[in-house]
Amino acid sequence: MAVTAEDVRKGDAGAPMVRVRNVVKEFLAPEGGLFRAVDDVSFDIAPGEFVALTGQSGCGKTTLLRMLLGLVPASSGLLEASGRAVKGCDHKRAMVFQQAELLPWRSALANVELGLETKGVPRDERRRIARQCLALVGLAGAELRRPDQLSGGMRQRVGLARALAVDPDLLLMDEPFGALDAHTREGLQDELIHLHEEMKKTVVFVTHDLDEAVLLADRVLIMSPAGRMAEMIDIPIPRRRSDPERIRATPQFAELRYHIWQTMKRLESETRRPVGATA
Amino acid sequence: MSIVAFFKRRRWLLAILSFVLLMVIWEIGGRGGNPLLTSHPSAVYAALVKQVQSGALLNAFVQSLQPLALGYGFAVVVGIPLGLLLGRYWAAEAGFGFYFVGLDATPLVAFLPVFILWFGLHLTVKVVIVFLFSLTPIVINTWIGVKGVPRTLVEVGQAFVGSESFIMRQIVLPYALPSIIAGLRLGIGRAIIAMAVAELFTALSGLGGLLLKRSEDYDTAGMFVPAFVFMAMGIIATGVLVWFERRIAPWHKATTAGNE
Repeated sequence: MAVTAEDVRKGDAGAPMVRVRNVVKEFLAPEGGLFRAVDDVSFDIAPGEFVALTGQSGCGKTTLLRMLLGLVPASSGLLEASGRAVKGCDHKRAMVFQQAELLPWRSALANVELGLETKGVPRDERRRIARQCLALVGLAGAELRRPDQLSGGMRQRVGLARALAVDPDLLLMDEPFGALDAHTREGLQDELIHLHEEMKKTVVFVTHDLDEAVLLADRVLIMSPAGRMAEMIDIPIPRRRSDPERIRATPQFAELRYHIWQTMKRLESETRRPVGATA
Repeated sequence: MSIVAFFKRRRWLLAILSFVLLMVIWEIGGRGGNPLLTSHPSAVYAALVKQVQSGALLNAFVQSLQPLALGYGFAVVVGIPLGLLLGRYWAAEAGFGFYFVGLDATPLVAFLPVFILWFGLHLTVKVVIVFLFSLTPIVINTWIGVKGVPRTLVEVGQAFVGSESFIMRQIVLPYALPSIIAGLRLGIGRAIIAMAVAELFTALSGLGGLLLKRSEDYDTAGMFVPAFVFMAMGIIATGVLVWFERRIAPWHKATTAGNE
């Protein structure tokens, strides 16, 4: 079943939005020697695809996401996005951070304008786009509130609007709903599904939450604790996924979730490959 | 309960009450004493009126203000950029940080004789002393403030393709602002002390000079007048800075536990 869907995608898609080949990221370990956070990872992401990236804590998924953004360079391997090698950050990719990371002295509107400022968009145009994006995430009317005057869920919405404002090809999301309460999280998940289906942006979404991964994604990538890409599982739940509560209640959803859980369980024992140099 | 709420909304009233109480106690306690050894508020007030009428106080104040404003002004203009550099660039911190930590603990008074040889007895030496006294708290607080900027917030700037100068202006500087203002507050107190020290040890002038002259004449009440002016200057300058901080960094008060 999974294979078929994969084949279909490969068949009809043109150039992939993201191409990752044999990417390795090594860090200097505190105790000396090298620590391999991401180990020989390869995958493609099709334009418009929603990919969830999951795995145990410390498996390298956030590192992989930061490499895709261009915030940190890969130690070796090839990273391409929008048809070009990733070299540093640019406005074609935007990140939604784990804790929103808004500038506390800026209003919601001014926070959303951040990327437009560095892009050189004139002031009035900036305002207009930022207002639009805030409305898109359901925050019309909250433009002038500062982050300390917003709830956690609203702050995440501003973070999402800030990323959407630069109109990126690729939206990178690092456990954006992880710190929210269940109710707020479900609300934001529903809206993200809706936004994704409307805007057709390519999304890479890091999460620990298997329900979230299955509900949102077209494909779930599972990294092993050793930093390798262990498995890619297609989620053939049809779009539009307009009724998340119903989807959560289907046997198909439970089946997929269980399959991912099993895979992760099996991977638990896998440990990192030792790297050459030692102290 | 309601009395707490009453005062919580009128905090300045507590300051006035405590001040009036202190004055009353001092008046009662000081009245009977020898005017050479002690004084009391009404005598100080009489001395104040005398010094204002003779023009001595205003004259001294204007004389003091010049080195204070120049020295402190230079310290602000030099200190904030220095602190930003030390906080943002590890090499600057490693290479130059210790000078400022050392300077901060240096009893600069000991260098006064050398300073007088270098800079003379008049305005220049006073400006230098005020500058050096008030520089280190400004540098060090700015530096600490910049070190406190969360790395993730700097990464937000990088992720949205901000240049180094954009990140400095739009993220690092605003985040460090409350700490910078704390440095400016500490600096102004130091600057006022430095001004007095300079006036006492170089050419006798200004409020410090007035204070010493009154005290050498055993005019105890008269001596208190410039002393109170020093205090008032510190309080007013701090008040201005606090007001300034509330205007430009209201988010800080809303997100920290202090003050409330």
